[in-house]
Amino acid sequence: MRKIDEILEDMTVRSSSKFPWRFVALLAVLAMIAAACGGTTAETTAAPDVTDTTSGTDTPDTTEGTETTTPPSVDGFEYKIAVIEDFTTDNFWTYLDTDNSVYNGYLLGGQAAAVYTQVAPNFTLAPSLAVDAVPPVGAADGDNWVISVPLRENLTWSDGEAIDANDVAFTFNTVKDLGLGGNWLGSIPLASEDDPETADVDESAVGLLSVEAADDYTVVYTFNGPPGLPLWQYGAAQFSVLPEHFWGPIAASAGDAETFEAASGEGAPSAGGFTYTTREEGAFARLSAAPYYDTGARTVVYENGAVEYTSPDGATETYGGTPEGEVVSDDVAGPYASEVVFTVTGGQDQAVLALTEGEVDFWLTPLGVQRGFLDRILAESDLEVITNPNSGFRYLSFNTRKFPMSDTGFRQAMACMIDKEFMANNVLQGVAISLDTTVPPANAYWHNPDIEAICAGLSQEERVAQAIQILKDAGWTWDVEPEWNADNLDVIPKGEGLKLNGESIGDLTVLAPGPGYDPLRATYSLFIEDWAQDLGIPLSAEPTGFNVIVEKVFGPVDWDMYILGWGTGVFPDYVVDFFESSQDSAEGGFNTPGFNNAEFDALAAEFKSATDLADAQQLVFQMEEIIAEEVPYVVLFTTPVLEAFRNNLSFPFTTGLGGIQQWNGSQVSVQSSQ
Amino acid sequence: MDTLQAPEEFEIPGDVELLLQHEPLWRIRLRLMRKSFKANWKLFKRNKVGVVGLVIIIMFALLGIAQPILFATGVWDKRVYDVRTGNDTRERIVEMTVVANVDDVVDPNTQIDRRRLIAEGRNVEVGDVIQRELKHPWPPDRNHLLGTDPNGSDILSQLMFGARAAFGLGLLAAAVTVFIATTVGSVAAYFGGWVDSFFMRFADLLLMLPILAVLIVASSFGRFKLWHLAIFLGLLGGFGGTAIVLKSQALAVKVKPFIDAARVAGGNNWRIVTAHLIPNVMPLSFLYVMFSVTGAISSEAVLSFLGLLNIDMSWGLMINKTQSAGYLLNPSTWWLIVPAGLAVTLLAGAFYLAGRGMDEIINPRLRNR
Amino acid sequence: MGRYVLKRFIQMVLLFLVFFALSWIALQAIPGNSIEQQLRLNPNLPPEAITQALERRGLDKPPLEQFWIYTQNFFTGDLGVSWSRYPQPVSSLIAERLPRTVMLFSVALLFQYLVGFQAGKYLAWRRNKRGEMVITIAGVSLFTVFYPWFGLMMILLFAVKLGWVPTNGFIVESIWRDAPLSANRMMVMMFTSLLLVTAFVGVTVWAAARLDRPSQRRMVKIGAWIVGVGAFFAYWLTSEYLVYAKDIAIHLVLPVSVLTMVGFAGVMLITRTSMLETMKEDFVLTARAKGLTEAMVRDRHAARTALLPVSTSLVLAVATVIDGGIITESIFGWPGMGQLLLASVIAEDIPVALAAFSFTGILALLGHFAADVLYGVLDPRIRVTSQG
Repeated sequence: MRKIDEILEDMTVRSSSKFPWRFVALLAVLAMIAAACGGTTAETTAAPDVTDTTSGTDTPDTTEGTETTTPPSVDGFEYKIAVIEDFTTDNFWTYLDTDNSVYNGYLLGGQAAAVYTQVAPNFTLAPSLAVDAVPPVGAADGDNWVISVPLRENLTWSDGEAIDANDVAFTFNTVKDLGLGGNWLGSIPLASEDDPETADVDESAVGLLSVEAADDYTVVYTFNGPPGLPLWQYGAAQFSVLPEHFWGPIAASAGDAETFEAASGEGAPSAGGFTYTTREEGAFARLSAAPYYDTGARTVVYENGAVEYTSPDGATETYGGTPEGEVVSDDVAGPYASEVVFTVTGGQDQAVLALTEGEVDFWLTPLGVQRGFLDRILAESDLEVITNPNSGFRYLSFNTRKFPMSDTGFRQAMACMIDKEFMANNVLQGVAISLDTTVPPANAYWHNPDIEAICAGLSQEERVAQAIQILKDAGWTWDVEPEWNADNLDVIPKGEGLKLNGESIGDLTVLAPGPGYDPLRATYSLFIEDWAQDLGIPLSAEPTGFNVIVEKVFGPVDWDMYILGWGTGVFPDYVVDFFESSQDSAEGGFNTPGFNNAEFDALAAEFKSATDLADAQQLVFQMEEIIAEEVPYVVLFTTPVLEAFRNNLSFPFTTGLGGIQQWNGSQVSVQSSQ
Repeated sequence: MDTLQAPEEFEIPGDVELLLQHEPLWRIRLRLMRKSFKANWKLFKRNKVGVVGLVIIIMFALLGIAQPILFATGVWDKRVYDVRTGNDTRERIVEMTVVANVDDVVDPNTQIDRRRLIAEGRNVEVGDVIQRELKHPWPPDRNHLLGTDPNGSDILSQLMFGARAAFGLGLLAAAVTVFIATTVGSVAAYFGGWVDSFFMRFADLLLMLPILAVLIVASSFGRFKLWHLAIFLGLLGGFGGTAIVLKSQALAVKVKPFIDAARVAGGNNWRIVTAHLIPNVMPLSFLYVMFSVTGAISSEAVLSFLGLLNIDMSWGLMINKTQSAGYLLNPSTWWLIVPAGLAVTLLAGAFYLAGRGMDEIINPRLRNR
Repeated sequence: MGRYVLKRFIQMVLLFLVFFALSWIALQAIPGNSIEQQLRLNPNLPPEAITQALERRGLDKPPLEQFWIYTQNFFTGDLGVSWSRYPQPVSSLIAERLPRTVMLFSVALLFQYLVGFQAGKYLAWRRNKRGEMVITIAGVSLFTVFYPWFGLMMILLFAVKLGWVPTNGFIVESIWRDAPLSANRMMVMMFTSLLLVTAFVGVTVWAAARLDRPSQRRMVKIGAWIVGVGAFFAYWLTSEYLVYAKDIAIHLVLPVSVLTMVGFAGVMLITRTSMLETMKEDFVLTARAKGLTEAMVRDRHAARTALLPVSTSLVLAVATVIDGGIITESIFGWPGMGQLLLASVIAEDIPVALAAFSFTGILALLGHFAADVLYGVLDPRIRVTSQG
């Protein structure tokens, strides 16, 4: 035995000097690993056969009928949702204050009531607890401004207690007395008190002095001046209302914000059809269906945003204008699901696995499903994918305090060179949607459809010519003028020695997130660098950490250009925040470009005090026109939100800004055909 | 974990040099070097593990060199193959018929399921014939031997660039590590006392750090580039674990007779350390070069994988981009992930194997019976 | 020995203080306070809300004062309150995460070292045979494989394609929704029972080695394994919590297997090297000369001495579990200390990050200390005083 072994080994050793079989062995090991991924090709293509039988029958037409007629039953299905980040609190107060993540919102967002609210999917302002179709404007009372709002009667929390004016007042007083912060103060604009220490704070700013219950069904809001749309209709009228009978004793015994916000929200009554029951941190969380005052109410939303609401007892009202155009959403309030079960998965790959393996029915994510997952998701024939634009934008910002970014011609020429269609269609290939305004088209009411980006629709060659012309008109000169070379389809020679009235440009830097943080903006910055250099602008892209960019642009103003993004709400008061000269980021505001335009400032001031929606709309249109002309920002693109769910689920709508995740997954309206 | 095993004793070829004083020293050294190189090469060759490593290293080195040559000779157009902005913008429009479901797709070149088009935001009906642009990532073809990424950039070109980045990073990190560790180890061993205590406690301190977390902290500092990472890794390794290993080796050398001889002959301390101690620690240092390269390449890949480095391109970043775009577990786009994953594994493994091979030469106790 | 331990202990305390201060400085020095940035980047927040949020976290004070307050609290046992998950106490976060990490990595290390040690023994014995080549290359390939990628490929193969194990996470919601106890308590119970069994088998086998007759030795050894493992299964199979234990166990299978695959080679190579060294020692030659069988020489003489560096490296491996856990825990969706460390560093949640840093630091210090003492106790040739 031993001998044969030795002979065999001898042979292999000798043969090894000619043929590197050991190397082959290594490759074989690695090939096995490769096979692990290659091998699945056959599997995944074959798999759909199994699920085929279920796919054909239960398409939307069967559910359409049920949607309007079937009375909701609480012994329904489990709405199983995957999320990729854990929930950090179960206390609604904490969620709105320090733990304001979208994920906490998905879990808790539904439980609060509100006097007025915005209706999905068009964000129509409509009453929720209130009686009147639009928030009353109120009247002056001495120095103050008093608004009295009548509430609907017979509305109850999930435990049967009445929702009344005392709850509204309680919520306001808790925020004020315990000193809660964060987004509470975003919707409850407290009036600054006469405090000698804060003498430099602008005390003339309008704020909310008190919220009181005049009787059980009348709330009285007192402001220290006439509030505009951002403060009242889109501010205080919409703040979250929580039940006094549950939270009151807790707040009283807690005494301070820290203790109060550490309290558990388990068992808190809800006004949204589901109450929070349990969670295992890092693994799952659950909501259970609960009595809902609005169950059976039908809400039909039309293309123009008008809402037709039929209450459970059959009375019909319309809000937000006269119904016109197609129906975009037809929703009879449930809850239909008996449970909403959130499973926390480790990451997006795991979430897609959970979805394709049938462990969950929906992956709820604010970022949307990445395009690369489509192959795997579409391979399962019972999964549906929808796409909607995100409510936000990524942009290039110029430091207009500094030469040459201070020159409008320079900014316009840069904006002209940036070919957004080429970037969105050819380079970023559908994962970016070209955008020209800070208010996106999907935000239909506030979007100005007449704005066109500088040089929109031009070819590369025409853009170069146009940009050169813009610069020339603004008084710029070159030592070597750039020229389009039709043979090479490139600018040859590139511009050199670009000067304005003899003043030349030093090296410029555009700060942009690195490819590890956001490949889209990283790629964009490199192309912008190229285009700028074509014109003779010595610009270089600098991949920089997000925190460093923020630190720089909101601090000392020694930067040139940067690329970042904003996630925005629907009400466009951010347009004021981003460009009003008093909001200069050097003084702690949000106007990073340091944009200073008297015409714009006047419009902004008018907008802030406007109380009429139509007026406000016209003002936003005009402000957007100035931004498009003066280009402190070049708005670059937004991303689509792709969402995937099992086709047994049916939602009242699938089109709308931000998609279904914008509305926390439509928990109370989702139905299942199984 | 295995950096802590220090072979206790080594053969010291340097002994000879004290005996032959009449020939110019550099010549003797050169001759000895050549001789020992030949002998060592023979030993190295006997251990096939090391040879496998070396072959892979050379393969990747060639790959790294090839890219600038392809650009310089004009075989590759920068606008298409550049790793940062390269983009194959040729339009590939195909005509496709819309079918209801993936299962109904008989020929993927002419048919497409409706759900995909809806996901892309195109509202179509079953039976429509549509023009559709063939989207990146493209599978491997004549122009792109390893296909393209989701942005239309060439994978092979990225892989080549990544090879240069990996070599640059790995070798720089290793050089810094070993230079510091050898110096610190030798000095600590030779002088002992508080010098020794200081450096060893410092090494302990570095070993206490959660390395990955520290790297994440470091990467959030401003413009943290690849070479910053290399030097940072070098410092961590050089003052940390490697210093401890090399110190114990230097201790073993310190007690050899020729060190005493040099001291008796009146050599100053510094000269003894640089001329006698360090050269004799060098073989083991060289071994740790190999292990450090492995460590550096893996560290970069992990950091890039977590999306924490602001760099143009690297293998780790290729994997990160694939993952964040959602192609990681997609077998039908294997070319996005397999080449980069294999490259990190192979090159890191190759340096490790080569190091193992060298271990056999340097550590006589491991030689054949 | 006593004096040495005391001296080392004082050094350890000093070293920890330096480490603590350095960690704080490093975290504090990260440009841009992300908590502040997050607040500032929200246009809906009035300036008061930002100031207030910073005040509540103590961020309005100058850094040195913050450090002083934090240090005082830290050393009086108050780890403070998380900044990013305000107002959750850091200690409750750690109490939530630690059992999960301990559970996963204790099992994984157990397997890594069992497999690695056996493979190393085999390698040293089959030097320059074909088996060595294959195992070395396979082991090293797995050892240097790009781990995040490999882990995900294994998920694809075993969880998705074959469906043998769950894809990620540590429990399944449907089983645990009405569970009478938390998953963490369950893990503590499982870990304790595992520890008891390991200790029992370990001690018995160690004691068995002192027996004279080989047949007795073998019998006691086998008996210990049967009793230990039997008791373990008997306990859990009859437990009312079996369904929960099973759920956690099945979630452990994939991460533990993958960790074993990528980690065993390190142990294997250490074992091999140290065995090759010991095999040159006189006592092994003597044993050979006595005519003992190869297996006897390998298992009873060479292997036992070679165990020393292996156990040292085990102790040190324990010390790096949290840092090493970052990747594993992210891939397998196992929310333990590693993920906590990663998230806190990225969010610049200094109280949590510093607590996690300190935790790893203390583990490392104790690990090194244990390794030194282990050397001193097990190998008389190395006196503790010679260790720097």
